[in-house]
Amino acid sequence: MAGIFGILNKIKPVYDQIYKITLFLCKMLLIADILVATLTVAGRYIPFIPDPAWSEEVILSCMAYMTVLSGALAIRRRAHIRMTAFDKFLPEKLVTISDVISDIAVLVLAIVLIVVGWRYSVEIGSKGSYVSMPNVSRFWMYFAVPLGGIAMLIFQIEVLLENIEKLFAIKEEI
Amino acid sequence: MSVESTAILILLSSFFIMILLRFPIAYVVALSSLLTLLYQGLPLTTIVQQMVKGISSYSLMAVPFFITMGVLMGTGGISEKLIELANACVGWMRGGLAMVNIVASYFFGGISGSAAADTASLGSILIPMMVEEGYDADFSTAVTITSSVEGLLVPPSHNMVIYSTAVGGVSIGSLFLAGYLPGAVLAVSLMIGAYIISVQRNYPKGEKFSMSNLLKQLGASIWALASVLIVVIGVVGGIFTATESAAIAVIYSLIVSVYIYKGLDWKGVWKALESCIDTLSIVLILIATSSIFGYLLTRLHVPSLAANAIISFTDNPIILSLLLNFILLVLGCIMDMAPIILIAVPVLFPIATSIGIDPIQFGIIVVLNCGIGLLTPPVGSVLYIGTAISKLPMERVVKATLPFYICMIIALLLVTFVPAISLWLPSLFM
Amino acid sequence: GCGGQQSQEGKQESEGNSTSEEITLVYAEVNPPDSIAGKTAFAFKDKVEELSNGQIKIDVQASGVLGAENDVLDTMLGGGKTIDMARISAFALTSYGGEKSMLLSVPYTFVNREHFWKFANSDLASEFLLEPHENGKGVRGLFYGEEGFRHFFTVKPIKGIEDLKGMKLRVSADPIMTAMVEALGASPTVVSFNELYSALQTGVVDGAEQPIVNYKANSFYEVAPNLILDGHTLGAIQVIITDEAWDSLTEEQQNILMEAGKYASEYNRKISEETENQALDELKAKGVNVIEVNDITPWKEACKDVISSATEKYAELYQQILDMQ
Ligand code: NA
Ligand code: NA
Repeated sequence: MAGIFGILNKIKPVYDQIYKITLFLCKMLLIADILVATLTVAGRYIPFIPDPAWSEEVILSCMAYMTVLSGALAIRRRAHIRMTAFDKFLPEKLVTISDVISDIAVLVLAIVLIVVGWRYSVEIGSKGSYVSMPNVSRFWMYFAVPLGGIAMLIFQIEVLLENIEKLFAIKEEI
Repeated sequence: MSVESTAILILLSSFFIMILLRFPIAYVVALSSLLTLLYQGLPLTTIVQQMVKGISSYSLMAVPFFITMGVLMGTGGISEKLIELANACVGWMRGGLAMVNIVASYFFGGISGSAAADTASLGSILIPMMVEEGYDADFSTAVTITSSVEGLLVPPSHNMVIYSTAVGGVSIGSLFLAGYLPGAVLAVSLMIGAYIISVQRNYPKGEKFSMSNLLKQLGASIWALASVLIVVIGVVGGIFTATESAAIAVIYSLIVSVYIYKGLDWKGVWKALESCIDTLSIVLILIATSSIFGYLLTRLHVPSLAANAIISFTDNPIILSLLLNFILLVLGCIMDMAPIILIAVPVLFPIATSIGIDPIQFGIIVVLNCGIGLLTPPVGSVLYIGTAISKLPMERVVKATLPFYICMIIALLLVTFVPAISLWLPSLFM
Repeated sequence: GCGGQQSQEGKQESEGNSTSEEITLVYAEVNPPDSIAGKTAFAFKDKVEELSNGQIKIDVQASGVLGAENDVLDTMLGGGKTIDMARISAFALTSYGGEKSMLLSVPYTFVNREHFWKFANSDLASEFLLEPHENGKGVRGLFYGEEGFRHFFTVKPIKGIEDLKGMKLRVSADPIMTAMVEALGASPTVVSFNELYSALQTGVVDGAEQPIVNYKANSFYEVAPNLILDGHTLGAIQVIITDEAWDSLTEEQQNILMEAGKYASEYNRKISEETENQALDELKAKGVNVIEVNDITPWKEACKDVISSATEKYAELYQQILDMQ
């Protein structure tokens, strides 16, 4: 238990950095989406601004990346929506145990997303391209999923360790 | 039991068990789908594919844009001006801002045609506004999400377009016209509910109405007001589509916040984006993973099974009408609108017409039912967008929404049993 | 495919079914059941089930509930066994390396229906069907169909090609279509299909293009009542099946699919023409301004460069198709 505690303190600054970088990426993706959508409208009326056919597909792909990366951020902030209505009626230990189970389940999901997502991206990437951009492989459309899986895995591990630590702490109080 | 019904059982029961075990709902939908796919021996790639498909919806794009707009308006001084203006208009009335919220959705939702976009746009402006003025956050969220359903009824509404396709080409023009009055009925019903609660909870009531104050605030908030006008004029005037209007609104609020009201500098804008991402991080992944779940329900024919279940039940038209609503509401709890309309409606449509419901009126009934479904757990995108914006636990929002569900059901019953509400306007013009 | 495996399990559990193992093939269709493509799917289904005495079941999932064309193709090509068969536009295979099928969506290729059907029944057509399989994409075509010619329709009245100049026309993001609109002097505009009705109504776009039957089914005539019959491309469709599903069938079962395909193909030809004529009459009765194009040469001429650059790589094959008229 002391071991876990030590690790957590040591990795925290690293996690802060990863969080910052991921957040930065999400902001950039959001900005890119807004700019491309504005460009589409501007290009329709202002002759020298292009109204590219790829705008829709690019916007949607950026959104996919933003979705999975930001979703992982919410894991660290423990912000995901869940049923907490009965928490106040349950013993803290039971709640923490259920947290740990849920953490493990999400870890499993993250691994599935990484493995299956990677395999699928490669598989489909070798077979197709974006409709509006024949030179860009469809790999990039689906690569969001394994990438998001990695981000989920990283942030979920920290949360799991914290919950395990908390679980031991409760035990000692008893 | 057949493989399919076992699969449905696995999907739904694992779903509810994991929700009770307090798993994050965004991952519950993916995990229960994972178990079902494993049972059926189907490849897990379905998860990857459906996640990307779920988020790759063009009309969904408006959601992140409008949330960004709301955050910029809130931090950049635009919302403040709008609060003062709204107070000058309706501050004299108890629950005035709740009324503004409901009426604004009638017009604004009519622009975007999407309840999710309406909640994202008006919600991210109005919820913080209402809280600042002393309304409870859960009440403010409940008013926001329920009134966003008006936007599905008031044209243009792409769900009406989907309905028209599903039943084989009912005039979209008639459907659009048919939506105005039911949207108003819903708005009035919600306003009555909101007023009663406002009186009970003693929500703020400001000074007496004064024309000179109103004109003064109107002048002061001209740039703020223009942000809303730009969207409305741009879409109605055909300069851009509803989805694109969201991006334009972001750029506009950015310029006004930074250069006119000077409530934000560029550093502040960059910081405000973090708050956008915080909200989006909760909502978008839920929408992506829900798509896997919806896909499996579709592939397992759940909507048509449910619809078929009521066919031989009774031939009493009143009971049948109620059953039609009931089945649509139940499906709405676990599925998104489009698949319900596309799969259940073709089964339900002949029943509806056989008991004398007009195809146009049935369209309104279907859209309203599915709209209510967007506000109910466990699968309800609008509920979750509202929850994410208000940063409240989901149960509190649902609890605060309970009285409004009743208002919506009353509106639904009126629309079901008084055909003229839907059919009068089309009969005048079409 | 999956279907086969799935119902084998199903059979083991549901006792008392004495016929040999049942196979279910999931068939994805983007359009609603009563569209031309939808009716074709059900004709195919009925024929397969009749010929196989119910041993092969086709589970038609219409109205795009399993996803849009690209989603369906991604599922099938990515080894997702949830979809065994699908009806796709011939040009949909373009972004998956189906280069020959792309020739079918080159503007002003087919002069009339007969021309297309001569092609569809030729050896060349069968070669096209097998192209994705031979390229290692893991799917193969079974048979052809069509949804009728695609035409432009506009909000403002229009007399001929010259009126398209400067108009904002909505087309799909497909590079050939975009290039064609530009060649006609209009500007291609990106609007999602969902928002098209409203975009026409408010004037975000001045027009769009669809086959006649879709034009009517989506009520576009209510907001864009000028239909100019330029027939720029024929809505050629293919029904495809995954190699995995195909290989799981016995030779006899494969023959049943081929035979049912032939039947569905002929059925498609018949109803496509009938439905289109009927739709056109109804549209005229509703006051739609239908403009005939008597001389297609200026349209063809305008798109000359688009056509030649799109067909460059397969010039010889393309010529063969042209010669079939
Ligand atoms: Na509202
Ligand atoms: Na729901």
